[in-house]
Amino acid sequence: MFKNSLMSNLFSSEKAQLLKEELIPNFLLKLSDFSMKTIKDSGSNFIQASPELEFEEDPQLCLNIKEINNPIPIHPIYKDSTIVAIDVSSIKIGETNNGVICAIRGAVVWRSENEINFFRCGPLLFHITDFIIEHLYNNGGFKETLLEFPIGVVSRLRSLLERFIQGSVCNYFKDSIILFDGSLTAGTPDNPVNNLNQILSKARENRNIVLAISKTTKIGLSGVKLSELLKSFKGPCLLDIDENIRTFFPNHPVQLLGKVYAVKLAIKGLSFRLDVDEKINFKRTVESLGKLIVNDVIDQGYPDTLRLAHILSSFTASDIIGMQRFLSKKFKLQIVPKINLRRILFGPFGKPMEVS
Amino acid sequence: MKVYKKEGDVIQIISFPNEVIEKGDYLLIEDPIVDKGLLVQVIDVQFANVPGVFEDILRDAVLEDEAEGENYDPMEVSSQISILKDTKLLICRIRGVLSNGEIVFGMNYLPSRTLSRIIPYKIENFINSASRNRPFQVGRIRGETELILDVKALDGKLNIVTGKKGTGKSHLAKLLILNLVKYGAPCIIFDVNGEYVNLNRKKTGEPLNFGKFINLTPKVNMKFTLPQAKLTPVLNMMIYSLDLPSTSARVFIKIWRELERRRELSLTSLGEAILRWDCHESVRDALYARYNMMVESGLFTDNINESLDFEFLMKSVSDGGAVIVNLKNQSAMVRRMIVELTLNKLTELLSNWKLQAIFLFAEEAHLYLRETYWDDIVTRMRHLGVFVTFITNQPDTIQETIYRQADNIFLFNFSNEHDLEVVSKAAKIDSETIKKIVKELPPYYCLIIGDAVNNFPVVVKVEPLEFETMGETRFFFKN
Repeated sequence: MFKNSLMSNLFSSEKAQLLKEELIPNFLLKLSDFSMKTIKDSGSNFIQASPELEFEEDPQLCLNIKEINNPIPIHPIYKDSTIVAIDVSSIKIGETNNGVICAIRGAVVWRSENEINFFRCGPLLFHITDFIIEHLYNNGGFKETLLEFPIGVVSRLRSLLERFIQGSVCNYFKDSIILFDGSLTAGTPDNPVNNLNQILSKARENRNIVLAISKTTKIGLSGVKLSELLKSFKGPCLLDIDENIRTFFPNHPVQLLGKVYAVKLAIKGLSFRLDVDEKINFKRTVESLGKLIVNDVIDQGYPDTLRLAHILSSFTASDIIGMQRFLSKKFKLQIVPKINLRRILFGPFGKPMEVS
Repeated sequence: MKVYKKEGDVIQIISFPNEVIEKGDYLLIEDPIVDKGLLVQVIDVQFANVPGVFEDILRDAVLEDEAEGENYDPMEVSSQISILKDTKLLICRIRGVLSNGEIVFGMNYLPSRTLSRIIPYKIENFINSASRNRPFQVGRIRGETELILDVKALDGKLNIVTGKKGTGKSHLAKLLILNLVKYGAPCIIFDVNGEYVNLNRKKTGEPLNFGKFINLTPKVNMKFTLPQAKLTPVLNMMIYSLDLPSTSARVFIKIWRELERRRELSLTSLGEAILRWDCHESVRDALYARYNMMVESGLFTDNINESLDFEFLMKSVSDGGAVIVNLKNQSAMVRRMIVELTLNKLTELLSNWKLQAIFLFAEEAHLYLRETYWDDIVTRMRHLGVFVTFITNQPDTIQETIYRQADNIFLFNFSNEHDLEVVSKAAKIDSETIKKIVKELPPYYCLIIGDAVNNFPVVVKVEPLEFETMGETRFFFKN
């Protein structure tokens, strides 16, 4: 199942060092370390705590598909297969005088012969400042400096870690079904086409199949949401919507590196957008899905392995408080509430719900 | 630790896992601005309601059941996150204000949340410093620091020792008795289970080198001649223990006085006199029935050599000693007769100043104490010099008025809600403290409330005894 001894030795004594090198890019560790040191240089002695929800950046597509093909049923294939899922989350922890502190965390979960294992890395903390952006440009492989601050930077960091883990997983697992969270869309500054192409190529080399499942994409068929699209079909099924979607994506800069489907994995489950490596033929795609529904637990139409990866990587409110405590202990930063200008100016009338 | 909230005299404090705080501990909230400190006692320890902790625990639970894995945390942030999960909320009750080294009761103020420093406060130092004249070690606070009390704190007081079976009540009672005896106090014990009879012996079998210990066993060495017993104690015994009607009681007095006048007062002559006395048949029957009970009890004799001189007995322990009245294997009626007689004799000695005072230890008093004695004990008898310690595992058998007037209460574990409700009526402390602390006390730990601890409720692990205890619950299975 494993190409080399890395994963099989996951729990060996030397695992930590190996994993550190193989699942978290060294430059990202250094960047984290380096960026956090800039807190002291910046003269900040406090953080304005303003925890925000995790950044969700899946593309939002609102299409009006008029004609669709018939869904193809997915039949269970009772052959053992390892299911691997990867997810990475990011969160903003607070603001300093001249930047933002954010955290990212990644998780890999794999299910084989009904045994589940996981590896979680992080949280990695970053103090995002102009200086760090410059540093990223030089060392992190970013091609553009114009980033939406700070979300763009956080998104880049997250994407860096996610693609790195995806690459490592595709490299080390063989004959497995690898689940990505999101789509196989690339071509944005934080998500270069080359990176994803290499990952997919590595996966093919090892006879893996990459299935990218997206939770939040909104695709409508005359107003019907994608999640409801296959409701009337009785069993697990697959619907090819690639052509309908592709017309909305010009070849440059954003590219679809996968074939896009709507998929329903359980009888009473929801349907999701599924991107499959475009170089994988349809027959193999259906076969893989047949193995997936046998080898994984499908709850509400969503693979359990991917759900666990999300649970592991995501941040809770206590994670944020814990990280703030870490910052206050290690960097002697005082945690203060974020200044709310609207509150200061308008008092109780400065409600965030007002638009203007 | 940080102050979180104050509501009335309850303060909530956030405490981190590395700060080891237990129920019953005292904390001092020092406020540098006002230069005084708020003295609080922890009455409950809960988990702090940290946002997101539910999700965290849910995540841990899911992973624990389903998956095995590894975390790689290069910055070691997770330890801080774990700390949050175990962050505690201390519910504390304000006990006083520490100002210029003195504790002021009934004072209250709002300490600063941001500037206050919270430190554990050793209340035992405060209590111990006030216990210098006749000190004895009652136990250890948190199993470490000695808690020293003064036996004077039991002098003139009404004490209650209560807790469920097997928690160490008798053990504490013995500790109190031995220390009273050590300092020259006379004690009398109503021993229902015969567990105090070896009080004068160490575990090694050696006798104690202090005090005088006398075991009284009814029918064996606890017998009275009627002239020694005297009319009032015997009459009260007839009325209260044997339910003698008042008409019959009046006839009994006449018979007794007539026999006294003739100098013929004896058990035998009393029986004969009742049979031939000129009175209604029903009165004679009533008197003769009680007379037979007196004879059967074995408490009375006509042989002056086997008779007990109660006055002499009590004087022999007046410089430090204990009289143990063994009520084991006695019928309920005989128990009541013995107690009635003994209390009457004691009252008589105290009224005549033949005895200065006596410390009475009454185990499971409801088994032998008549209704009217409860009030008598906390009022009249207390003024005469009978200082009672009630020991019971059934707190509802002691009247509420007794709890309210108790000077010291030693509370061992109770898990039953009804029992907790009863003991929480003690006037010297709020009911919440009792309910929260007492419910979780391990065996041999007790909450001391009252004068003995300067009115600072203290949880203490009672000191082990080097003497034969005999009170331990007997088991069938050895292991």
